[in-house]
Amino acid sequence: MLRILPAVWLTLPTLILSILYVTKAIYPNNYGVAATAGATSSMAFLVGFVAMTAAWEAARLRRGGIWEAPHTRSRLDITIIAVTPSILLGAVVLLGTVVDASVYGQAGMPEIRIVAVGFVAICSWSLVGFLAGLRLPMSVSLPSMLLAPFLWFAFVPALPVEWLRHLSGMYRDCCRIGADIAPAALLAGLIMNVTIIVAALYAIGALRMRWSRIAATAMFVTGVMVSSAFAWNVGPIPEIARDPSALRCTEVGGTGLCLWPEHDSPTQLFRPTLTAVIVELARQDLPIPGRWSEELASATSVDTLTLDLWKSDPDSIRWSIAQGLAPWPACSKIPNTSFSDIPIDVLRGWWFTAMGGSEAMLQENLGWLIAEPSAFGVPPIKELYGTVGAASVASRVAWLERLTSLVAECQSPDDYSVQ
Amino acid sequence: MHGFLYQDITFSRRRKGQGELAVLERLTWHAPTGVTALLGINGAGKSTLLSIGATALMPKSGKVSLNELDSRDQQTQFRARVAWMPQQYRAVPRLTVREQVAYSGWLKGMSRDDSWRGATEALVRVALQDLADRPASELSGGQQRRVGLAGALVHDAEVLLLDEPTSGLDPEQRAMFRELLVNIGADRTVVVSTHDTGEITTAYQHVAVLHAGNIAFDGALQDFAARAPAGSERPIESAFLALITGEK
Repeated sequence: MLRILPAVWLTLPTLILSILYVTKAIYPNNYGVAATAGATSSMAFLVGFVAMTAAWEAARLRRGGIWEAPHTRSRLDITIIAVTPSILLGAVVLLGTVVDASVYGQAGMPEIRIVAVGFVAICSWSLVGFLAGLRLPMSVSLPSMLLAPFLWFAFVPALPVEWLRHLSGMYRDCCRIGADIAPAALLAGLIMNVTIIVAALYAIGALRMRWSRIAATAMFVTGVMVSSAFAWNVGPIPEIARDPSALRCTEVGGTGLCLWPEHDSPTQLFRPTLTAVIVELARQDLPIPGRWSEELASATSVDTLTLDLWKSDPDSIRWSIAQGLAPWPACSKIPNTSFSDIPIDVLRGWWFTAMGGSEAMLQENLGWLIAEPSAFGVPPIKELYGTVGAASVASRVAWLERLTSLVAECQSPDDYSVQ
Repeated sequence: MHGFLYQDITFSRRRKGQGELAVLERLTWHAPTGVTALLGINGAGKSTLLSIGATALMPKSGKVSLNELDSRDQQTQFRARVAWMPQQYRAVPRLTVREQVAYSGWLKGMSRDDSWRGATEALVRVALQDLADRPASELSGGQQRRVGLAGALVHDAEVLLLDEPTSGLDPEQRAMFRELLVNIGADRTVVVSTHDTGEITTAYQHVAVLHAGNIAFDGALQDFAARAPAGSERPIESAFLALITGEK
């Protein structure tokens, strides 16, 4: 049988292609969901091979007169046996690519839900290919099945989750670790693909009922509508806040510090650096939030500092904290407001310095401001930070609060000096 | 009634511009155990009758039964006990002869192991064992028909419906086929359609003639031959011609 099944021969080359593609598309970053989503981004061309090989099998059965002949085996049996090699091709390549992405991405356990939706998509496209092979000449069915998935996967209402995630960049990686994929998005992808499976089985004749064509069409239209409704509700970035029960929280001198497990391994510098920063800021009697957490900002309370950690070296961690302590004010997002981000950068730079951040990182992030402060209406930055640092605790806190409240109202201070 | 029975079968085809053309009209026929030659001119409906017997076609009215099994209500069991070799045999591309025959067995409900075993035995019966590993689509037309015959034999059906099985066979293969008929027809119902009366030999025990949408003759070979005018050199052909032209 190995000799005659194109799916068998295509498995290895497709796997190699898929692994090459995914290895280029992702980077090692410890994030399981990102690795899985990156791996499933190869689905667009993988399902093309799946559908094409299924079309090939169907064409052989049609040419051999098998489909019309009276058998004891049901058409469902014959279909399942015929598409199984194509489904196995897809499953082997999908799993191989996910494993590769997880190993290459140093990502640990893959996100099983995305893999499951991907597998259902493979099953649905194998049946679409089989249907095409039964109804169309090989010269039409094979190339059209190779190409059709690209069009389908770009059709957003269809919401193949893995592809939409790829398009939207919604991975649980460095920048969205507090986000989880929306169940509605997974459900939409699942419903869409199950709809295709059932409609294709009716159209093939593997499932029988009165008015099969009408039933298949009605089922397909209904499935697309229901799936689209789910897709419509989740929006372009299908995410919800991640379940906070997975957070690992500790107390550091009265301040709560909560990190996601991906950022809390003993080999990582997140927790030690954050702990050191909290201790340092407390030593300077600076006002800091009572809880530091990696939850999405929308899921946290007022007294929580939202941590958005994307690099694991201490300076990058400090800069992330500085950004959290001096966030963009809400008024800056109102159209037609002229708000300069200079005061925010001044504030961030100061927090970074207060945490013991390096000169090099400060230069890297604020070099333009350090080089020509007068051009931006600010005093020489390093001197200013020196003055603030040398002032009394009360003066320093007063300077910080004044600057922070001005920024919160989208105003630029006329005077940066310590009062 | 026991045996393979067509009951009150009516079947028509829709032809463009001609409306419905009756092919079979209230046909009732009991196919006896043994080998029956189903004779009829081209277009008489022989293939249609066999296709209905195999449930490849469904009649407008009437039913086919095999002992207690009804072809409509117990289709799966019915099909498992009836084998059909269509007039146009088509090999599945790239399958070997053995795979082709084993696949036929699997399609008829045999297990994987049984179908492989059955394929080997069926290929021996049609003398194709030496070509078992050749792609079926690469064989000659006559050899492919023997593959089709092996496919019909593989699951050891109680009824075999063979549609023009000898067309395309050379004389040696035809002789082999007649020998095969004697073997397989001993304890089961075998219906072989043909329009070539020269094919009818002592390998056949019965003759049925399909004419004008119904069975015009059904009886033993000797009885049919006896209808030929005295002194006929080809009694079967003469009897057939006499029957369809209405000559005495």
